[in-house]
Formats: sequence, C-alpha cells, structure tokens
Amino acid sequence: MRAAAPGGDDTRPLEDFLRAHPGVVSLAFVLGLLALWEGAAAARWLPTYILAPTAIAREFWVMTTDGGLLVPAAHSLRRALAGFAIGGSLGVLLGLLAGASKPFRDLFDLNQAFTHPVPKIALFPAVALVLGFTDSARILIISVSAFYPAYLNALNGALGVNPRLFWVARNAGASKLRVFFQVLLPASLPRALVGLRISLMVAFVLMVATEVLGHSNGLGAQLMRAYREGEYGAMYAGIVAVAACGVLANAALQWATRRLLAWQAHAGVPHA
Amino acid sequence: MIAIEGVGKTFRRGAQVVHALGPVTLTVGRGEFLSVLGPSGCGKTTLLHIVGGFETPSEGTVSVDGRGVTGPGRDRGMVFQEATLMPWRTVLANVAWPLEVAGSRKAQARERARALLARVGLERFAEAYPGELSGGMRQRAALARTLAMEPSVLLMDEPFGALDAQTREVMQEELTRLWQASGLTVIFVTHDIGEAVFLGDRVVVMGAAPGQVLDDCRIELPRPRTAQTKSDPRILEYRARFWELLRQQGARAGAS
Amino acid sequence: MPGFPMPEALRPPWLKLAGVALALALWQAGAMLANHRMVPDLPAIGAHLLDDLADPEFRSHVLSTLMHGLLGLAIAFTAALVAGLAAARHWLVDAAIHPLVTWCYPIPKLALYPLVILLLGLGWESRVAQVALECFFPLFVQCHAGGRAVARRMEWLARNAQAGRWHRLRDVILPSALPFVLTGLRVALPVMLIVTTVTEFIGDSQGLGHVIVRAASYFDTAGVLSVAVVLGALGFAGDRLIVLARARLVFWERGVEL
Repeated sequence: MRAAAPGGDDTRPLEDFLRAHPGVVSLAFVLGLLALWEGAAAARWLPTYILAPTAIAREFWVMTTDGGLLVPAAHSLRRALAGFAIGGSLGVLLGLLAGASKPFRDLFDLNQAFTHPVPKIALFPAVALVLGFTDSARILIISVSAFYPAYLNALNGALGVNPRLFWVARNAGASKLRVFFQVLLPASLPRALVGLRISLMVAFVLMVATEVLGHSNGLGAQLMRAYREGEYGAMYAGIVAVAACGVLANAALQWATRRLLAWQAHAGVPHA
Repeated sequence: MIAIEGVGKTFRRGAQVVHALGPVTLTVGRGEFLSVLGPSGCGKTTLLHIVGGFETPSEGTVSVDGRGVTGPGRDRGMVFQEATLMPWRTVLANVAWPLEVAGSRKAQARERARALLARVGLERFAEAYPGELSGGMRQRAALARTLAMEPSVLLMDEPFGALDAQTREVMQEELTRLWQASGLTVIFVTHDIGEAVFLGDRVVVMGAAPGQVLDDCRIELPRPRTAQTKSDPRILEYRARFWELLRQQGARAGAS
Repeated sequence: MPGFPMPEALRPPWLKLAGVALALALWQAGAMLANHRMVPDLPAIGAHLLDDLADPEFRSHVLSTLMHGLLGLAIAFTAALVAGLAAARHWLVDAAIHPLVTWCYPIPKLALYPLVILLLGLGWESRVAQVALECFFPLFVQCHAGGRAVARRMEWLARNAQAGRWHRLRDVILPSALPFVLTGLRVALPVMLIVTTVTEFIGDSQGLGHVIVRAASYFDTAGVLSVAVVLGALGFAGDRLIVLARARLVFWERGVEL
C-alpha cells in the first residue's frame, strides 16, 4: 500500500488517525462547506434567494414547532408510506411467486418489461382525470412506481437461491407451501430488502412529484407555493423537511433490515 | 436392498445428444457401505441423484426394498458436497427442521436435534449460525440434519471434497465410526481412491463417456476401520488396482 | 424451485405473449365496462399514438425531451466518473465525498427544483441541471464500485510491468470499471426520463412533459397515455441499447445478468 518513509520511521500520525476515523474527514468536509456558505452569506455575496445555513435552520425550527411543517409532512408521509406499503408488499409477493413458478413469471414477463420503462409520473395526469387530484390518485401512482423495484429484486433473489436448498426440502418431504415460506422467502429476503429500499426512495420521489400538479395539502405542494410567493424561508424549511423525511424513512428501513438479516452479521467469523 | 437395473441417462444440449450414463446394473445390500469411485464426468453423481429420486433415468429402474423410486423421499437422505444449510437458521434449527416438517412440535424437535448434534460432536455449536462454522463442521451439521430424516439409506455426493486434507481424514474416521453404530445403507460417491477403499465394504469403479461400471470389488479389510487401518499393506494393492483402471480412463479421455 | 410441470405446447414464448394479450384484453374490457369519458379504450389510444407520431410538432417535443435529458445524463456521467473513480482510488477523497453521497441519496432531489429554477431560470438549463443532479447519485455509486472492483492482482501486474499512471488507468482500471459503469447508466436512464418529464410539467412549453400537461388540460386521457407509451418505448430502447453495448464492450463477461 504505502512504502515506509525512508529513514525507517513510519509514523504519519495525522494520516493514520484520519484513515482510522474517516467519519472525521467527512464531518470536517461538510462543516467546511457549511462554513464557506455561511461566510458567503454574511459577506452578502449570495443572491437574496439563497439563505445562510443558520437562517434556514432557524426557519426550519420555527416552522416545525408551530406545526407549519408537521401537518403537511404528515399528509405527504401518509401517502408515501401507504404507496410504499402497497406497492412494495405486492412487488415482493409477486416477485417471489414469479421466481418460484416459470409459467407465472412468463405471464408477467413482457408486461413487466414494457411497462417498467414508462415513467409512472407520466400517468399521473391521466389518473387524475379519472380520480381527480385526490389521495387515491397519488397513492395509486406511488404504489405502481414502488412495485417495480420490489418485484424485480424479489424475483432475482428467488431465482438466485441455491437450488440444492430446494432439493434438501424435497428430500425432507416438505410441502410446497412450507418450501415457499420457510425456504424461498428467507433465502430471497436479502435481495428483496434491497429492492424495498429502492422502492422506498422511489415512493418519496413520487410523493414530491405528484404534489407538483393539482392542489395538495402536502409538503411538496407547500414548498412550491412558498417558491411562487417568494417566501424563501418557508421554501428552504420545506426542502429540509422533505429531506428529513426521506433520510429518516430510509434509516428506519435500514434498521429493520439489520434486524431481519441478523444472521448475516454472524457470518465470516469462523470457528475452527 | 437397493436394485439398480439398467439405469441410463441421456440428455439433450441444444442439438447435441449427450449419453451421460449407463446402462448400469448394480445391487446394494442392506447395511452395506458402497463406495462409487470414478473421475469427474463419469456420471456417478447423476446415478446418485437418480437413486435419490432427484433426477429421472432415461432408461432402467431403481427400487429400494422392492418399491420403485419415483421421487425424493425421507428414506433416502442426501448429503451434498456443499453443506447446503439454511444460513438464516442456527445449526440446531437446521437439524430440527426435518423433524418439524414431519410434524414434531418445536420443543420435541429441538430435543432430538440436540441428540443428533451430540452424535456428530457439534453439541457446543447448537446456537451458532452456519456462517460461523468451518467447512468440516458444516458438513457434520449437514450430516446430522440428514440423519434427522431417519433415512434407511444415506446418499453421499463427495461430501468431503471441499475440505482440506487433514479435515478430510478426520471426517472419514468419524463417518465410519458413525456408520458402524447406525446400520444404515450408504452409497458414497468420490474420486479419491484412498477414501473409497478406507470407507467401503465394496468399491464400484465407474468410467466415463458413457458412465458405466468397470470394476466391482469387495474390500477385505477388517472392521471397524480406524486410523490404524490406513497403514494396512492391502490398501496399497487396492489402490494400485483402482489407480491403473482410472489411469486408463484418463488416457482414453485425453485421446478422444 | 422446480416449477409446476408445463405441457410442451404452452412453452414460451407463447405464454409470454399470452400474458400481454391478457393484459390488453383486461384493459379493453375495463375501459368498455367503465364507460367513462376519461377512460379511453385501446383503439382510441392507438389512433392518438399514430397521429402523434405523424405530427412534426410532437416529434420536436420528443427531440427536446431526449436532448435535454441526455445532456443532463452526460453531465452527471462525467462528474460521477471523475468523482467515483477518484473516491475509489484515494481514501481522502472517499472519506470526504462518499458519506455525503450516501446521506443525500435518500433525499428526493426533486424538492430542490425550485431552488434550481431560482438559480438558472425557468428554461431548459434548470431542467438539464436537475436531471444531472438526480442522475449523478446512482452513477457515482456504480463508478465508485467499478473503481474498487479492479482485482488486486491486476494492479500488481500493471505495476510489475512498470505501467505508468495513464496506462494503468486506460488498460486496467477503466476496463474493470466498465461493467459497473454500464450498470450505472442502465439505472440512471429511467431516472433521467422521470426527472425530465416532471420538470417539463412546469417551466417552459417544451418536451413531452409539457405535451402531457397540455393534453390533460384538454381532458384528453388518450393523449396522455399516448405520450406515456412513447416514453416507455424510449426507455425500453435505451435500456436495450445499453445491454447491447455491455455485451459488446464487456465481451469477456458472457451471459452475466446485470
């Protein structure tokens, strides 16, 4: 990797410390950027619509405590999570079934291949024409979008399961139902959870995208309103709120994934 | 007890027809340890899969105790080269699984699984996950799991092939000890001559292209077999005999 | 899992085509049952699609979407390649950038669009910038993985042969990273289409997103769906192109599924 410094003394304490604690580098980098930004704002180099980080933080805090953010956030989150739950669970279930059964997979295959590349947001105006700009329309589009990554990853997870595991199950005389729930599902779970993570991200993107059009009580709509009315403080607070929702939801899913796949943590530490 | 009558297997690869195996006719007596020795590609694994019911023969039949084999069953337990344990379950849960499948209650199944683990010397690792075990330990766990199905026949497909030389030796001695006490009928497939001779009552040598029986030889070494047996001079004779056969096979394969 | 036994006659592709036929039949039945002014049946959608494809104005919108989208993608690709490879090769760069990218990944960047508009105006520039911003992330992740994927042995081999920095980059690092980079493009392409479409909902009157909104304002559901079909076809074609490119460029990895 790196050669010892000539003279035999191989001490570069700062570099060693930073290599061992990369988080420090990252933190320093981010803080550095924020400091530059704050400085530029204080020196009035920035246009009026770019607020300083401290100003944004203050605005965010105010709007959170007076409920101006929590209410729309609740509405947006409700839709995003509902869409994720519906699309994600259906995706995993059908993906596993498709992985287990070739006829089933073939029935779905071309349909999936042709509809997958269509940006589902393009369908939103059409759906809104039938259902109006309602929760159902938005949740429908979010669900459909969240379906695909979950389906594809669950399918690939199921297809990638070691076939010998199924042989062992047949050897033991296990029923098809038992094989599905006790072998196929746990074996496909790691990949399926990767798919669900993507589904969650997609759900949040669609959450914002569906609030670009039509009247809505959500964060995205409020954000756009603030922009149009020149309320930049509220706009930034909204952005931070959306970001926070995305990050928190993702962290929650990561935590759940770690718990579900606890057995993986034990791997790679072999006894003799 | 196991009657293999004219079993053969051909399969199609695109436009080609590959005659992988047969016809093979063979019997295995009850409680007998049969070693099937042969080079890679000689169809010995296919034969094992057919006896196990995981593959269907293109010709011929297999019957166990007079009943024809139509599919996999708990009476014929398979042990694969890769341990094939469920990585998301502990070792104990893995071994208990076939018992649960058969209808035992969880607690009962775990009790019996613990006893099986003791038989293979893994009782201390009951709560470990397969990912934490070495290759040899995983194979022992896989063996315990197969025994949990209470089979009358054990079908072993080069189970020690992926292990290092020392572990393999240890496992061979453990297997023969376990078998001695169990009375199971075993068909053990391997490409290792020493292993085949050490373990088997009988060695069947198979040649490749197409797979067929070249030799069927009783091993007159005293039972029980132990580490001492490995220094028995008769082993060298058997080795020489089989080695010559296999070498000819290799030369033919190289020339073709 | 050994599937249910299938009679030879129903072997694919018949079953696959049957699946599509079934889906189309379901739509047609649904449209006829609903008898809703806003739910067009298949012939209506098909007719609208044919009209659109013949219409030069429509085609110019398609071109606009493609051009802006691909420009944004190209910018993202360049930035991601440089940043990703740099981060993969230098621990300091990696420590600084990588956590930032990981943390920002789950944030819906679309929320930043108003800010982008403030900076770059309502025209195509902000659209391209938004596409670049959103496509950067998956491309970075893949380029980073690609940079890391170079087998240790290969690097040692190159250094053994006294290969200079440039040679190492061109002959060892880039080819090893190539499969990952192509996967990244495959993931980024649908993102590009989505972002381009949404940004065309608002802003200047160009592109397929604008056509959708215009059709919707005339309650022309068939029009909206026609554009959706075109977008889907573009995405499908782009995907196939990348897969083809991968097969040809990464010829040493036959039969590997992306």
